[in-house]
Amino acid sequence: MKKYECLYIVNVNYDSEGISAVTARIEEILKNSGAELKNTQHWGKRKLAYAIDKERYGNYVLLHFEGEDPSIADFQREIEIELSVLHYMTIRLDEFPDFEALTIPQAVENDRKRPGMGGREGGYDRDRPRRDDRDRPRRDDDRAPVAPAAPVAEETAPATEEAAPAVEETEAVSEKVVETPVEVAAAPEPKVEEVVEAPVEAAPVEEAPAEEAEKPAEAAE
Amino acid sequence: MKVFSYRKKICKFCENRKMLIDYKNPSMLRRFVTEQGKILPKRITGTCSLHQRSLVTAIKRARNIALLPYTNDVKNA
Repeated sequence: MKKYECLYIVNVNYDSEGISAVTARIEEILKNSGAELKNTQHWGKRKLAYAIDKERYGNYVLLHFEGEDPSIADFQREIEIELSVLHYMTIRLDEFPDFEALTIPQAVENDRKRPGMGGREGGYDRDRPRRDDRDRPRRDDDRAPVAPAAPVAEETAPATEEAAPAVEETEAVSEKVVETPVEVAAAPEPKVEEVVEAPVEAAPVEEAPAEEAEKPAEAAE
Repeated sequence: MKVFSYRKKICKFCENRKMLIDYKNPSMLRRFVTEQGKILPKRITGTCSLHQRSLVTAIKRARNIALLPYTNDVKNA
C-alpha cells in the first residue's frame, strides 16, 4: 500500500449540501477503487490564484489515503469525470503527516491591493475610517477651526508658507505669524494687501481655542 | 581598490528546521517567487541547492492547484 494525498477544488456554486454530497461521492469512489481513506480536511471557500472554468473561488478539500497503483488510476479517472470538481492533484507521499497537527493554510489574497504589502501605497481606501471619525485628544479638536485658514495663507504668497503650519502650534508662535505679513508688506509684491488680511483673520480664530483650552485646565484645578 | 563585503546568505530552511517546504503553504512560497510569480533563483534568496530543488517542486505543485499564480499581471491587476 502506498500513501497518497489528494487536494481537489469543488465548484463554489454548490451549496453546503451539494458540497457534502460531492465529497461523499468522491469518498465512495475512493472506497470502491480499493483505497483506504485516512483523513479528510475541508479548507472551505478561498480565492483561486487564477480562474478555472471562469470560476474565481473554489472549495478546497484535502484527502489522505492509502492504495495500490491500479486503484489510484480508477480514482483519478472517476474524479476527472466529476463535473463539480474544478481541479484536482494527487501526489505520492513517503509518510503521512500528523493529522492532528494539520492546519488550514492561510489564504493568500492579492497582496498589492493592501497598503503596506509592497506595490503602490497610499491609494484612496474607501473602507478606511476617516481621520475625524477617530477618537482624538481635545487639543486636536480645538485646533480644527484653524485648518481652513491655513490654506488661504499658502495660496496668497509663498513667503507665508512656513508661517501657516506654525499657526497651529502654540500661542507664542502665533505672535510671529502676525509679524511675518508685515515683512512681506515691505517687499514690492502685488498681492501684499491680501497677504496681510489672511493671517490677521487666522490669528483671532487661533487664539480663541487656546483660551478655551486653558479654561478646562483651570476648572480641573 | 574597493573591497566589497557581503553578508553571507543563509538558507532559510537550513537555518530553521521547523520550516517545512510544503506546496499547501502558499504564504510561505510567496517569498520565493517574484511579484510576477516567477521562481526566484537561489542566488537571490540564498536557499541551498538541496532545498531549492524541493522548493521548486512545491511552487510548481501550488501553481497546479491554483494556490499560486503561474503569472501575475503586475501592470493591469
